[in-house]
Amino acid sequence: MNKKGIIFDIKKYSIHDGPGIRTTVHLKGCPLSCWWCHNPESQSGIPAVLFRSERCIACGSCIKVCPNNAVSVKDGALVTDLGLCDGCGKCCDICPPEARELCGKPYTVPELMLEIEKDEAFFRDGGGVTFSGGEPLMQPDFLMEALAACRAAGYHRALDTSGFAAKSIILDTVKLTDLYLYDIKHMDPEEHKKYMGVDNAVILENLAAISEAGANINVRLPFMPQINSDDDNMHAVGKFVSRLKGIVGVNILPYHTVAKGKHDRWKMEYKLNDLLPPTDNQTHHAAGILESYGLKVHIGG
Amino acid sequence: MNERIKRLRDASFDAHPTISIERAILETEFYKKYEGKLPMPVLRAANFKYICENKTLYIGDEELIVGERGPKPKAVSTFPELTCHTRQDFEILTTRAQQNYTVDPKDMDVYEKEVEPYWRGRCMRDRLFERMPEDWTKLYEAGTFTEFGEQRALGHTSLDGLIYRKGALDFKKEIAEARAKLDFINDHEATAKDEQLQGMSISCDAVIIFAERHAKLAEEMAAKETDPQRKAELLKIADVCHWVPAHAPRDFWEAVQMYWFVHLGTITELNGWDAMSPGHLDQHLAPFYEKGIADGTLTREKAKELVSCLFIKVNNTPAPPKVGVTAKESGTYNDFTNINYAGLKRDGSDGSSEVTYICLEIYDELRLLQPQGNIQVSERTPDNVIRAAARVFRNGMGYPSVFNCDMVIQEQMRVGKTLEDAREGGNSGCIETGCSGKEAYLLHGYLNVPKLLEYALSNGVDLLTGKQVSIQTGELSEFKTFDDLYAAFEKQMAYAVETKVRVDNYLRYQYATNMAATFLSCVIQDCIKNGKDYYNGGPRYNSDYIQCCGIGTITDSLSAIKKHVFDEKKYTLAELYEAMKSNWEGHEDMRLTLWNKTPFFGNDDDYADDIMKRVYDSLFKTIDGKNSILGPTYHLNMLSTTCHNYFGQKLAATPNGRFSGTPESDGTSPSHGADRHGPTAVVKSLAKMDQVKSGGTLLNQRFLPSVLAGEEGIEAVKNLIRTYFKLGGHHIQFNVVDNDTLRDAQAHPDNYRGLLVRVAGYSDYFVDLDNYQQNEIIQRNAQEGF
Repeated sequence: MNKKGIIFDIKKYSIHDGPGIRTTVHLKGCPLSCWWCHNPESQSGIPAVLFRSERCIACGSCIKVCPNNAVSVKDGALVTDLGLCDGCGKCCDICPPEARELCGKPYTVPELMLEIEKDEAFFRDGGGVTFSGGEPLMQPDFLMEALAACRAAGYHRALDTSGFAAKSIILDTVKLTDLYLYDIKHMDPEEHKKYMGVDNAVILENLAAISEAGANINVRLPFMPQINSDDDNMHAVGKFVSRLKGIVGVNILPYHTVAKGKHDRWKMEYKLNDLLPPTDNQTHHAAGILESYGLKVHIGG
Repeated sequence: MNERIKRLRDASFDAHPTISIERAILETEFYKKYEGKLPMPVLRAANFKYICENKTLYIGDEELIVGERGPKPKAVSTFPELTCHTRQDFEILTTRAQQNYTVDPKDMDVYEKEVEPYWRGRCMRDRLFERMPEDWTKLYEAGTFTEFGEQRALGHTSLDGLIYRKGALDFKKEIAEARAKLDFINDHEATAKDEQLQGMSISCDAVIIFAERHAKLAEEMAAKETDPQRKAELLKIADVCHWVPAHAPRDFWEAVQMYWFVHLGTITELNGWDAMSPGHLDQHLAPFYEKGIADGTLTREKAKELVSCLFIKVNNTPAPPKVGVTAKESGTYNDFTNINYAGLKRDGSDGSSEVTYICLEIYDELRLLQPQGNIQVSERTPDNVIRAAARVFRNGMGYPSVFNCDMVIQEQMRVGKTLEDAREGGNSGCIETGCSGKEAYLLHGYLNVPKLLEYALSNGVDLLTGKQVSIQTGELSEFKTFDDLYAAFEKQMAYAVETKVRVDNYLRYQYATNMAATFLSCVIQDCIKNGKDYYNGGPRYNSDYIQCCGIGTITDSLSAIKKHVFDEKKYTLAELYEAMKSNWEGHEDMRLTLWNKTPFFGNDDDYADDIMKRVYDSLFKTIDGKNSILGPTYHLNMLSTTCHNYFGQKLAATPNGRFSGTPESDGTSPSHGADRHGPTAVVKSLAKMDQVKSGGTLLNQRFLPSVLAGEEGIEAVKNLIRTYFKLGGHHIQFNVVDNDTLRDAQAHPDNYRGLLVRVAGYSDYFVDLDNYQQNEIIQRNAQEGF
């Protein structure tokens, strides 16, 4: 089939994306736009050139190499005309100080497998491969083929998803996925729409659907003070999740400010500048509520 | 730790190193009287005995294990027969900012009048340097290699279980039997053997006298002691010292004191490299522990207290100060006692025991500079040993380090050790493999491998001084292919190694003929049987090592040339060479291209890793099997201690985009900042090196604390270790500390006196390192797990 997927990162020695030592494959593109997104550059589904101006040495290599004349100097600053740039990445390949970085590279499944196989020896003690994003379900054909290839190779497969996809697509993945890392960001539809840009009905329905279909699920709660940390939301999560089958645990992921740096670096607006990470008391209080529903709660990834 | 240990530990921690000239004075008196009158081994042994009879003794408050090399803790002896310090050396030692040793000005006067005049021109260092050939001197001064034998006695020594089965009186009996058997008619070496054995017998008397003097002192102190508990302890100490080291120990306490007396004996008779290590201490002590627990004479707490006392004693013994280049290549108080834990027993069964866990707990509690420790991990080692060790090293002290015991055994068997002997072997110093208790494995110094590429490019010129220091191996224009250049690099390698080995053999001969280690020879197996000294082929096994530095830097440099000059023709060799010579002045785009767009070692990329294998193979072919005075005993190993800093200062800019004078890669780790795909890729790259052909490799893995947090962090690192070892890795160690902490420690050293960081194959206090070394540690690539 050789369908190409757009991948923006392959992280090795991932130890917080499922059990054991894992390789996490980040697929580009996401239908959500969470305010605290850790990879804001990955929301768009197409390859794009990122620029770190502080590294630039003004050598002009990028201007010379661009086949579409998309790069030029205006008022002493390097600018890239996004209308002309087709994301070929030639300027990134040549840029000596790596000021230009191509976010999103096409891979065929066999190409991806060559990269994953390199760490095969580390998967033997309970590790494996995690598909993450962006939102991996945005590239369903590629994802299905990659999951099947990993199954054929005998690797444990985890899928880190927001759950925002067509039900038929996510149900298809159940037979190929050993573990879901499934985010619940808010139980209230309005609040969800406000902070994530989409309604949560699909997400909750899909969670119930894969649970019915026999999936093993680790629910993950990004824990955001003042946004989703209130007792009502925790009770709602506890009530909803505790009725589902196949829940192996719930992880509370306390907010930290790494996302702010990422937004600043790519010159994107960050709406949570004043938000502080939760205190240990807040986090443990929330964990207590979830535990009261009989859930196995773990703080951290 | 209990209150006693806390007080002893704090006292050791707070004591500042001083220089004691007592040993030098006693030795000078003795030599003035007897040099030339006694055969050399007898002279050395009688000198040792004279020191043992006359040195000032020390038994401190609350101590249970007794004996110091100097008159008090951290009072460091000098060894003028090896390196005779000058007044100026002492002035530097006492005033320098780091690793300073206090020297009493009155002692400087005495030394200058009484000690120096006798030894000047007589000490090993003076005699050696007088006779060095000019081709060696040129390469040495340009920073191509270093020489261990130029100011300390050669050697890396660790012990097996012999001293827990036999005492000095048993050795004396064996020596007498060996002398009785000498055949003066048919054995042309019989007289030499007789003199050596006489010396060894005198050495046994020396340590017995040393212990008896302690017993007597303890009895005198007990007679005056009013506290009944301390009085009883002093009497027990006296009992123990009456028994060991004359006899084999009978219980746990005696076993610990036995080791300490033997350790002290070896570091008093000579100043050998890497002091002395006990080998598999947990395995040696386990039978005494089990017996004591079974018959009710020992508790876990008491055993822990006694081993803690031993560790504090080791910490009381800083390395004798070095001078010149050697101070730069390894500037530290650390005398590199490094203890093996777990591993395998002689019969192949798991060597870990309750004593293993007790010792690991002690490391976590005491946090001393010395002794350091390592776990020997076999396929048969329980996961819990790794977990227990990881809980200690994640606290940021850098130890215990982790060795692949199955590889360490293979490495030894490749060079002729029996399987059982190899299992008793292990690692000492940093990462050096040796057959504990049965081998003299002498390290001869470091080889600056990236410097050899500099010579290949410059046709033998040291680019930092402009002097022709090496042979001519071709003009740049003659290198039409990468292989042409590589051939020149190999010629430079052969020349440097041969020049070094010629001098190393000379040094080894000088030790064999002038510096018999008669006491050490008693505790290293087969020296008595063979009637030969530790330095003269007495031990069951003998080997010589050259330590190769900078595999990351050389691999990346060759990879950069191959890719950008020969494969892609982006630059000519001449353009690259000119830019390098100018230290990249005006060529920042080229430098960044080389630095960022070259496949580098440490990323699991075969383009670079194949070059690493080729260089390693060249080094192996050049060094392995070279002849010493004992035959083809040379091998390579791959460690740098802190010499990668010194060598970096002596190295012009390199084709990987590195600036002139900055550190080269350490051990077998990737160049700083070159590994960009996390620890699994580093481990995969290094696993492509056929490490079994070396005497050890060193992988420094720096993690931020978050990566090792929680049980997941411990499990992940355990799996990383297991996998690296399945792939053929020899050693890995973890430096767990974040850069904010390190920068703050630079700014406020007083707040971080206890901050231990992994430097090379050992840990050191961060604030004791010079600024250059501190920055180097900060720059080592921090591996983030997410």
